[in-house]
Amino acid sequence: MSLTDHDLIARTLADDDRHAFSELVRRHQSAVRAFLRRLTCGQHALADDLAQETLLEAYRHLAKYRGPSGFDTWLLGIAYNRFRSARRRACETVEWTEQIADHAPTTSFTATEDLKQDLAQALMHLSSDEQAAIHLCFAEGLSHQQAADVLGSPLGTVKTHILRAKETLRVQLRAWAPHFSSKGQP
Amino acid sequence: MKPHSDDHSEHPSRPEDNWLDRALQDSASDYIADAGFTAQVMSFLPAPRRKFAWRRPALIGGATVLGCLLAFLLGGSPLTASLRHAFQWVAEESTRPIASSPFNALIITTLVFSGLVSWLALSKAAR
Repeated sequence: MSLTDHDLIARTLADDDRHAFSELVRRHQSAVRAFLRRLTCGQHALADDLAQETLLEAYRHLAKYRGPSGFDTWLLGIAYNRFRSARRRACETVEWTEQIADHAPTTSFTATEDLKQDLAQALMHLSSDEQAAIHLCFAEGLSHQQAADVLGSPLGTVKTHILRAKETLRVQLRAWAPHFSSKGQP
Repeated sequence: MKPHSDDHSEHPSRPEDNWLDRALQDSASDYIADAGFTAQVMSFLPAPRRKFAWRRPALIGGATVLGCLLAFLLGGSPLTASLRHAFQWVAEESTRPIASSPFNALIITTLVFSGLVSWLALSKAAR
């Protein structure tokens, strides 16, 4: 029987059990890295550095974790704070924008792949708060309330981010709308 | 990708937005293979904390003090008696300026000696 996250956390806290913590890292690394890759617009190296910082911070502050929100939600919250700190350090400078532009996907294959590429590019035009809200609610499947917990924002703000983001995406991807309204599925 | 939450019903999408919702859900990344990431994170963790790190120096220091006292009090053989006399002589000579009696001299010397051994044990344990 596999141990729950709470069991592993308890073992890590009680005995400084490194195997338990490594299992936690192994379980959640994909979600954390994917979230940060989204926020950094596909800069894998930067995202992985931030993910590493996130997990080290989680280890240091594991005793502060309170169960109800879920460990993955707690981790994503730390990841988002790490991302914001990194962005603040970069001061949202030209370099940051240029790095993001350099990593924009360029190749396309099929209609579905084309949509994915266009969507990825359109997502880059959103603010990082909007990107985070969209990723958490659609890709990670979190509820609006959980996303609000992760982002440390009021529920209403998260809903506004999602509405605005979808409005922007709808405009950016308007060429795709007739394609899907006629075919139904991508 | 995790099961999608029903919470989006809080903001029901317009029917013409269904394709956008689906596209956003499909945009979730595939599982990212670990590829050594976990090992790298683990290598950056601080050194494991040692449980009961105080035990060893305390045992060494305590045993040293006890051994000194027992040797001093119970030593009856010619060898221990001569060692005791030698220790007493060293103690009296080295503490003559500050000790008022030979007994005080022995106590001071024993404490200094025990302290020195304990300090050595503690510094070794700290390393």
